[in-house]
Amino acid sequence: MPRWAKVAWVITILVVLAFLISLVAGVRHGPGLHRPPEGGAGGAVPEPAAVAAP
Amino acid sequence: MSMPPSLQKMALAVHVLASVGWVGAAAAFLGLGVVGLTSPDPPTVRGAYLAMDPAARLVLVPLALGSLATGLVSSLGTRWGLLRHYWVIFKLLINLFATLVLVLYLDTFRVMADVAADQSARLVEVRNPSPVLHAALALVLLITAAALGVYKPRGKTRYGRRRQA
Repeated sequence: MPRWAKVAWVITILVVLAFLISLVAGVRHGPGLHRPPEGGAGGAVPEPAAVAAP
Repeated sequence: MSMPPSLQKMALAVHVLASVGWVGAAAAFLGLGVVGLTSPDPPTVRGAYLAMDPAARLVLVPLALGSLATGLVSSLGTRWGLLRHYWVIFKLLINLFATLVLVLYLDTFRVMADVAADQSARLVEVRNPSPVLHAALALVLLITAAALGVYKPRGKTRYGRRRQA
């Protein structure tokens, strides 16, 4: 295997490991991270599911 | 399985167009993200996040899927193959990863657009550094993939060497 491919594999494994560690460490991902805080001056935008619920 | 040369050229042309278009779209998103973070004008800030949601669905996703599909066709239908050369494998991994993250990120675009459309939301709640970060990382990945496609660094996999023998 050429050296550049070895380096690329190492980078790939490190990125995947970093992502897995961030998940295990409880770092939140997804749209919930971008929602404004509840009770703020502007008010939170409700989830579509909550709006649709009876 | 090798495609006729005319078909190979057409698949390659569409692949290059989709991939370069994806790079350009990611650069445009980086620009929109910077405007959203730095503009002092509230309608401009809200407009930046409102524009991202439909642009992602109508431009980014088709370009990403087009790049992935034509890349698969181009590799499988030519002498390069899908698993014979390391540069093809890494380009495929980059394309798959970037497409997966993009599709997962669509919900975030929708939520950011919802917040931007809510006139009672404060500007500080509308501004979000996430698109800048994601667009910058996407550009790094896509430029790396483009460089792999142009330079085609040497190195055959074990499977590729067996196929050659």
